[in-house]
Amino acid sequence: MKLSELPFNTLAKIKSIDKKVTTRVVAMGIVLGTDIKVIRASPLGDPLELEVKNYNLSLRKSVCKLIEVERI
Amino acid sequence: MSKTLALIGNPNVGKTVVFNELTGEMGHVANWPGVTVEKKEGKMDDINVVDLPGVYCLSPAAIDELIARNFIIKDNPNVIVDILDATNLERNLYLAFLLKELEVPIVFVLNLMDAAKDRGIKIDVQKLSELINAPIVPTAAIKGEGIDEAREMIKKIFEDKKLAEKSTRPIKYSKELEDKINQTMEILGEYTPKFLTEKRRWVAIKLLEGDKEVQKELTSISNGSKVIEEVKNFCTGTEEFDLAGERYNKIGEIIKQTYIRKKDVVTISDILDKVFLHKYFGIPIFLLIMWGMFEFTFRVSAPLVTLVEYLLGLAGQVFEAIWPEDAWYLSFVNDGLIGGFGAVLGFVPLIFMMYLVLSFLEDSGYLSRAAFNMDRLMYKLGLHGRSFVSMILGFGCNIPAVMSCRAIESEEDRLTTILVNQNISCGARLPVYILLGAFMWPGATGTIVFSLYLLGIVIAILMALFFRKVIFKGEAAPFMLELGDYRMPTAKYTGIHMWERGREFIKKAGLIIFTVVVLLWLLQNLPWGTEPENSALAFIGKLFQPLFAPLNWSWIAAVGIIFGFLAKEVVVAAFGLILSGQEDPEGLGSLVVGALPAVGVAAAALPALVYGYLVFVLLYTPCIAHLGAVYKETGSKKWTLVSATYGIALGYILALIINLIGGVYF
Repeated sequence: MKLSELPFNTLAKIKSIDKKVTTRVVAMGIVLGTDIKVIRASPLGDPLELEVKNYNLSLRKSVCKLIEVERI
Repeated sequence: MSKTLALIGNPNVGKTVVFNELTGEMGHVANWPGVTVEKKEGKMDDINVVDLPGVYCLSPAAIDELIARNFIIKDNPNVIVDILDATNLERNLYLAFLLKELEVPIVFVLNLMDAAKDRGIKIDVQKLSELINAPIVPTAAIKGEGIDEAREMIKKIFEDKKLAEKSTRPIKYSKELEDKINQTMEILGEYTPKFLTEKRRWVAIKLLEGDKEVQKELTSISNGSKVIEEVKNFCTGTEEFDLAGERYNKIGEIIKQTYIRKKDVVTISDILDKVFLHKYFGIPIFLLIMWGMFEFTFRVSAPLVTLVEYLLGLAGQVFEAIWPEDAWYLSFVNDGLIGGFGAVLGFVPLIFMMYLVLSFLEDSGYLSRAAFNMDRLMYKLGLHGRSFVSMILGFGCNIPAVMSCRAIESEEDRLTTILVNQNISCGARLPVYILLGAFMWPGATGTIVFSLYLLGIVIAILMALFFRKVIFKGEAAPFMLELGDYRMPTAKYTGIHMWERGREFIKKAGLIIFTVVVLLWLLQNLPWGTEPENSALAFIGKLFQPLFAPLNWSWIAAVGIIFGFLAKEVVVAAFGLILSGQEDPEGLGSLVVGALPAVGVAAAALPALVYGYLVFVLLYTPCIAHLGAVYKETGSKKWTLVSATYGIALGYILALIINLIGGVYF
């Protein structure tokens, strides 16, 4: 499923990343096989707050749609 | 030979604190050549310390990252010091790995050890140092812990060739990737001259990643394009992600051996975020904080402002007593300096308080939460979080805010953000609001001022929408934001932060405003011995007054606006100067309000006229230096002209509408 569709506070693993995702996002720890969690959405619904590599990162849903994850 | 050390690290790892502790000074702030991202330099004994921008990686896509990277490649610092956040080691090690690829002598400073300890994090520093082939010094810079050790280690690596050499040894990646790197290095070795062979491994890695900047440099030399072609031939196109994945793999292995973190500790930050980022309360709290920020600024600074005004008044009386009544210098000092310049000086405590609150918000980590809460709105406008941060900076001063747009990747975003920033009320406009607001709305000054700030934000949003949908069409740049831990700002660093901002204001007040005030005083007194009504200043005011006649503004109101174009502080100074001969127990505000309308208006309509005037002050060009910054940053006369004209037009139209609604003409 897409990261943007992952229910809140559910642990998942990154399965694939679209080529459109930029180096700078990848550098933040968005790499294959990484554990990831969606903590919450912003009050206005977007962006999302993620937990990855033991810290909190915020990305927009449009980028999260490009990241495939699998629940574990 | 001069020794240079480059300080680098992720944003928010306490780099500024380490810099200050190492060099024992605040550093000279300048800009990077050609760009306006801040550059700080200082000295640690005989070593030049250059503070590089805080970055997460070294991609060529963003100007701050490119600056950091180019400095390391082209200016050849002898040593790099990378600051790591001990509470967030895994992500911080990514930049460390990128730096290791550059094969420059390096020392790591593992900062925030105190915060890590509080959170039950244990790090085997010795082992970590072995695994990444470089010295590591643990510190808690804000408490000054470990700084001496860091300083010693830095000196040692400058002297000890062996240690330096050891720290340049690369970290080896998977066999598959190493093969590709070696293959690329061989191709490079066949074709390229010296400047690329020095950091050949790094160039090879960048070529595999398809780095545009390195490709560009290569194509400028003979055979360079051939190299790119040959490398492309054996690449699968996934190397960029493969390399990132491999770096994090290695980091994961290192973390497993050296880093122990208690599982699922609920931190204070988590609890605060439950409130500040709450689905329903998040935005009301954001507005409340913004409002509280202004209330606090006014309430706390009010007695200080009164004190400064009292002291200036006292000085005026002293001069009056000791100097002859008709001396020109008495008029210059009392009307010009105390009346005009002093009117600005009186607001210094207010502006410092504003900067204090802004620095506190920035240092506490709340600003990124505000950006998180508001991003959706920004996105709808075709902008993103960075634009929001530049808007917040605009509350201090629009000039650094315009300059901060350099960090925005997409040109459309950048131009839009630059052009809308002028609507954000800077500190210099505040004295005008306060002067008039405090008299007109004594019980509700804070609310009135807040409404002006809010109006500025709303106009900025509407203009952004207009620019982005009508003029600069295109995709918004991707948004990413770290929601780091909240930190209790320390008095010392909030103070330094405030001072660095306030200093700029004082410099400006000292130079531009002082000069303009002297000019105003001269105009006010020419031809010599004339009444204020017949002075050159009045002549200028009356010359421009017809332009503002539809708004029912007097020539005094016109003088404020005309000279306010140079700097907004001058508006208050001009009023102070022109009206300095008149006595009013209720103060300058009362005099100004009385002098604003050209033709008398009903008492009930006066607030509308004053509010309209304030709206005009809010919306037209903040100051001449702002236009200079817009010109420098956009490099275009057209956009500079657009910035000036749309501000004036909007201000005029809105003031007219407010007058109409408020019944000024009836």
